Amino acid sequence: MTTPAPDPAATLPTAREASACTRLGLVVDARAVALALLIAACFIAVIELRLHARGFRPTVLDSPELWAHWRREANALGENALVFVGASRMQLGIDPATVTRTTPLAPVQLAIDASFPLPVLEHMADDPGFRGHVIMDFYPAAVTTLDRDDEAARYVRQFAAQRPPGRLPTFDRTEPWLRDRVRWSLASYADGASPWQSLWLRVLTPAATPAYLVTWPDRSREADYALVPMPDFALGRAMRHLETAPRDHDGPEPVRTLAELDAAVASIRSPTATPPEFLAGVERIAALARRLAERGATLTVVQMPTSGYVREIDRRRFPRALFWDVLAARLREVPVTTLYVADVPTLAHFECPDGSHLDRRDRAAFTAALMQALGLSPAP
Amino acid sequence: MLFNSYTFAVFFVVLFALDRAIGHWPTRKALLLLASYLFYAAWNPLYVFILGGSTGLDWWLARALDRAEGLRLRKALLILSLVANLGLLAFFKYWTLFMDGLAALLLGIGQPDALPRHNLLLPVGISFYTFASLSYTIDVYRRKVRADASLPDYALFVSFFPHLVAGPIVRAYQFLPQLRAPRRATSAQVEWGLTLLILGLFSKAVMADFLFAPVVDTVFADPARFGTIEALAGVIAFSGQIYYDFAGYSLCAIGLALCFGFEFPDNFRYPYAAIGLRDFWRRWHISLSTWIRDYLYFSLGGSRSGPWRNGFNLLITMTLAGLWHGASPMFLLWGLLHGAYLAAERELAARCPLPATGLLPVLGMLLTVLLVTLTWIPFRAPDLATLLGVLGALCAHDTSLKLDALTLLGVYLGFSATLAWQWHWREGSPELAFGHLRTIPRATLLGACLLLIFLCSGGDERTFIYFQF
Repeated sequence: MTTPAPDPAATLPTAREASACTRLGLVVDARAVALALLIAACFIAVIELRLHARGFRPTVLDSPELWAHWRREANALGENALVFVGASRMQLGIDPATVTRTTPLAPVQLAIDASFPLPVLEHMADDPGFRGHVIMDFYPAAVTTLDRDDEAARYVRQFAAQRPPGRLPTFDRTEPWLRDRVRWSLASYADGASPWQSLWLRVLTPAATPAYLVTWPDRSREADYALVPMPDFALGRAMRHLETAPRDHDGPEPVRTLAELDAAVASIRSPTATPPEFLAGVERIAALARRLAERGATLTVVQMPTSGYVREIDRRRFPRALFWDVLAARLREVPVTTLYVADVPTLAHFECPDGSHLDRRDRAAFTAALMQALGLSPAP
Repeated sequence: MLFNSYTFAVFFVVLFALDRAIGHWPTRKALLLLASYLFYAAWNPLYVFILGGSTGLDWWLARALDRAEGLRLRKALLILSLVANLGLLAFFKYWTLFMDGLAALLLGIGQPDALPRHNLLLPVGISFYTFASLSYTIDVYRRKVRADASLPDYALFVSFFPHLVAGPIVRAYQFLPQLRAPRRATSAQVEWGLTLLILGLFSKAVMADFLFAPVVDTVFADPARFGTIEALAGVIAFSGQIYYDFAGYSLCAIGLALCFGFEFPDNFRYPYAAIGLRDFWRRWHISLSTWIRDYLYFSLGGSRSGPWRNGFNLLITMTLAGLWHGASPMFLLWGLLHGAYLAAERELAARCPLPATGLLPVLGMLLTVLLVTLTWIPFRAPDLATLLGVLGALCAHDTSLKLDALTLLGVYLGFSATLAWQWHWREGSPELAFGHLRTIPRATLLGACLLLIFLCSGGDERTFIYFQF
């Protein structure tokens, strides 16, 4: 059986259907795109100049990819890795250059802003490739609320889902690299803002909070509190601390004025016994420390400095005898080194201008004193 | 590699410069082929072999089909092409669903589920390049095109990066003739290609991702929280998001091809200005709807076999079009609904045709948008519970707002403006719209688009919706 010969009439025509090309005669104007690029570039330049004039500078933008880079570095450094785990207090309080200068160890900043450290600690404890030393920031709520699905959990999940980095420049390697280079060069992206937010909140809002935070490529951060209006800024921090921290059912309502803040702090009712969930959290940390110790890695838990209202709120919510002392006693059995900065004369005098974080002028001195207090650097 | 990425910007600039610098046509074609494979490999280097294997097999089968005289042999070769292409597509798309179904069956008869599971990663663009490739072997079988393309030319047709991962589904008869004679983009083509690229990126970054997507994600994540106003905003926002996302991608693809001197057919033609579902499918994802019409609907008999058979054909065609999107009962439902609408509309139109003037066409357009928008709900909902949740929220008499009022206003205004703009230009084209503008207004408009693309960057990064298909 044979098929009929091709019918020329049935042969489909070459593409002359409705398309952008067939209508091209309508639109020829070679100058419009070039002029459009110029217009957009001029507007972006004006926004950048306005941001610079208001003190905003390009900064590194923390991201899961940047964190993943340093997480891999923590393994690559082997026993020389000194890893910092926690949240913003750790990022703003530790000066990596001072660690490098005063200790034989290489600092790796794995703390993640506004997160609880347990997912990161757990990830390192479960990773046989990690053999370094961990310094973890202690905050009682982080031990009580173990399974919060926050940024730390997301960073760890994203890291676990990543393919191991190969030699080929695949999209998932080139794109974060290029994106970071662009965004770290423009003030419009400063400190995690989007250009839209920068325009509305930093260029067009007269009372914008000045750029007081800088993030560095090593993920450490610096805060210059001389640039922000005090005491309003510190009071705002205290109010946020009061509102976002866990409350009793009959705990204080969100506050609005200084008097209300005073009343709210005064009304905090301290617990009378250590909550069982905190004890469970301590046991979990102890188990993770044991897992780390099995391969020569170590864990140190540090209570970072706080001041003013923030310290008072934490003191009332988490009395030392019921929280820190319980944790320290249990972890010493593992053994885990614990350090309460207020107990060390060389550390106790550091003050946090906003109540929760050290100023950039203090971070080198604080880091040097901390390294010395932990026995990681020789006494002067 | 996404068109709205920094990596692609570098890729495009380097490739464009090389393309302009090289004069030798076969070398330029080789460059575009190599670049297209690099473009694909940037996502997953291993899956390049699937693309290459599928291309090589179809090229060889098409040549064999062209040479073969016996109908049996020709049918056998066509079936081999269909089985190989659709088998590969089915394997990657439906294997997990098949194994889950088998496991449920085993459990149902009291047997343990010991079936092997493989975490298959769907090769991006497989649905698109499979259909592009299949159109070639079917057209050769039908003697509508000759299989006279060289392997490099055919490989470039299948893998040409602008259409490779999310269409438009370009057919061999549209693209291969463009490779025969040397061609270089004129300055007018490059200018308009870049304009389309800017408009496409604006659609994606500003309209789809910035204006609509956040509301969609919030409402569909937990629909029970919301009342009618917000649920409706979520549904409308998805209607806007999927249009701007996919039409934006198509504009980018058409514009990029034009920058290299190649011509792609339109893929969207103001679909939300359609009067009726048949009109809608002539305007929405045109390259897929015409592919399905030509190779599936017509093969089933089309509209030549009486109303019941025609209705059945429409149901089957649209159901398969739904399943083309993925192995989900929600896509099946979406396809079934569209099939049912088309069948019903055909009968209705035969009995009482719609007048072409007056208010009725506007009402017809609004009714069509309403139906299409509501039918997007199963398309977006990941499961039946979410679908029912959204439908429940649409009927909930809760007037309290959980979402920012300005955001909601943006969605309603943005979608209304889209409808008005599409209705105004329903018989026109972007070229006609821009043709009215002189240099300064046109440059200002494009400059504003570029500025907004910049301003709306830096938020949650979303891939193009159709990459998952």
